[in-house]
Amino acid sequence: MKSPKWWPIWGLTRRLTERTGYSKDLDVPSASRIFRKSLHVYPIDVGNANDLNFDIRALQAPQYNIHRFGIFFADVPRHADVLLVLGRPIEKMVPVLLETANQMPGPYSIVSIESEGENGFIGREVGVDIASLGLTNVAARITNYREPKDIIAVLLNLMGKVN
Amino acid sequence: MIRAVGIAGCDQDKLLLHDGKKVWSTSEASGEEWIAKQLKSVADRDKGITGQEVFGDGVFDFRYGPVTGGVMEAGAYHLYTYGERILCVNIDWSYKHRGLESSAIGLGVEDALNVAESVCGNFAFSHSLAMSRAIESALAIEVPSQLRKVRIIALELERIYNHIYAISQLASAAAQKVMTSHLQAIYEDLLRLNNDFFGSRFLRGFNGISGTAKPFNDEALIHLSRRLGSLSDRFDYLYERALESENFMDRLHDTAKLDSEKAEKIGVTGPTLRATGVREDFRLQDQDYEGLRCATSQMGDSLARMEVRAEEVFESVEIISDMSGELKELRDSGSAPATDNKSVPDGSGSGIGYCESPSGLLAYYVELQNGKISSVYAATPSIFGFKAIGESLVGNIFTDFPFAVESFGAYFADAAR
Repeated sequence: MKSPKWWPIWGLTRRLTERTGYSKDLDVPSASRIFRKSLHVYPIDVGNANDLNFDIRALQAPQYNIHRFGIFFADVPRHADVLLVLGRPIEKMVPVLLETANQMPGPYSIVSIESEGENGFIGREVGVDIASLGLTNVAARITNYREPKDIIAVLLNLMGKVN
Repeated sequence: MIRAVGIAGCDQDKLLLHDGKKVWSTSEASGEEWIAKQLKSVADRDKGITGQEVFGDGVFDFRYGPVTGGVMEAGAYHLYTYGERILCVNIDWSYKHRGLESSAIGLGVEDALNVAESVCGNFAFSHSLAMSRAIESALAIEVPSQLRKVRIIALELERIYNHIYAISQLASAAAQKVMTSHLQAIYEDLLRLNNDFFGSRFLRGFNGISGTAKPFNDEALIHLSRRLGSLSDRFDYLYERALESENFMDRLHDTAKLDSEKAEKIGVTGPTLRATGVREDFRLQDQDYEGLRCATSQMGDSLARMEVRAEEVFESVEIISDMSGELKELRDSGSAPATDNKSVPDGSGSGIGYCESPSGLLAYYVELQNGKISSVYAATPSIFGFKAIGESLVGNIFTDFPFAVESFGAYFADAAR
């Protein structure tokens, strides 16, 4: 490949976004009509094995191009509409999670994501069940998460954008 | 009762003990005082790096984490500062402690591999490989060369995606938007490639004892090499452009410097040690990696660590291509495929397994009784990586923080277990 002088221009001319549709009707109710155009998401790690954190980075890849749907990542929970809870909360993260949920501006939704097989090992379970924490506004629980498309489908449902 | 077991290649601070009952060390030092020191190190191992403090005019503890946009994982940095320069660093990873070593006790060997994979998702294959090598050594199982080569392919794939991830994080911290997006595209393509050939984006559930747990089609390897070759060309093109960007290089050059003497004292391995000019890699001891170049760099700063990672990406692509060729030869000569998972004997014994994970040497010590795990100890590279981050950040300023942290490739999940 020949390198042009302004190589970022070359970079901008590549077309990496996929045309695949991600929307699925999942019976996840939208928290408000105000999310139709934009949805800000804050991911919080509550003790997952780090693969979910790595997949959240992958979700920001140009293949998915989530900005075209109006989905953006916020830097603080105060600026977010959705709290993505990554993993099964371990004891020390429970008060941190509750306080983060407390800091969310209304209206907001919580989406809990656990990767496949994370629900507890044979032997003993790690962490606590998120349903036992008494969190309100839990819109969806993904317990058999496999790939970033699963998250986009839930977020599109929260925005009310289902074909 | 305290018992010492020698582990080659690790110094006394490197491998300590488990449950306050056992000490693993190559050190000849002994005596109650030494043992007490080791016990304390182990007690501190689950908490993090604590106890360092700096006092002075206007100095305060700036706490960064566990919930912040800058640190993705649940863990906290305590940065002692008077506003700009970092004077001292404590790191707390207790938010991520899941006690996985004790979860494995009483499990069968295949279930124990699942637990090892759950320690750190992005090093899942490295953990699984080190654990399986330990179990195979304990049960005196001989590993067929077919399986050894398939494992190398998976391990190198893990190295490639971790290194590309680390470089994309550095580019993102330097606001190189176009470069970041393209690297993230390559990273996502690598994860999909893992999924297509090994059935999991993070190479989980593939490795097994004495055979692969999932069926593996080695005829598809030619497609894997081809796809990987095109991804490597894309990365090569970007990397060359990145080295020309003065904005980017200025942020990495001279940031979070670590010299070889300090690095060896801390016990850090992997790209961090190799970036200080030390040619050390566990793969050099492995006969299957014949002719490994082992990339090194001299400066010991974030730029040197990025250079080592980039070189390793290219080398891993070559290794995978070589291994695919060798596997084809083995298949043509009529060897049994690596997918045949033979039944594992219900033996007893103890064994040690090593593996060069993307961030350095990973070791597992396993004890078995009648085919069930009775004791596990994991020495993970991130513990030493965090010690190195703490050392090297001192004297740097706040804006250097992401360049330091991302270049070391240390993860809370890996350190806290």
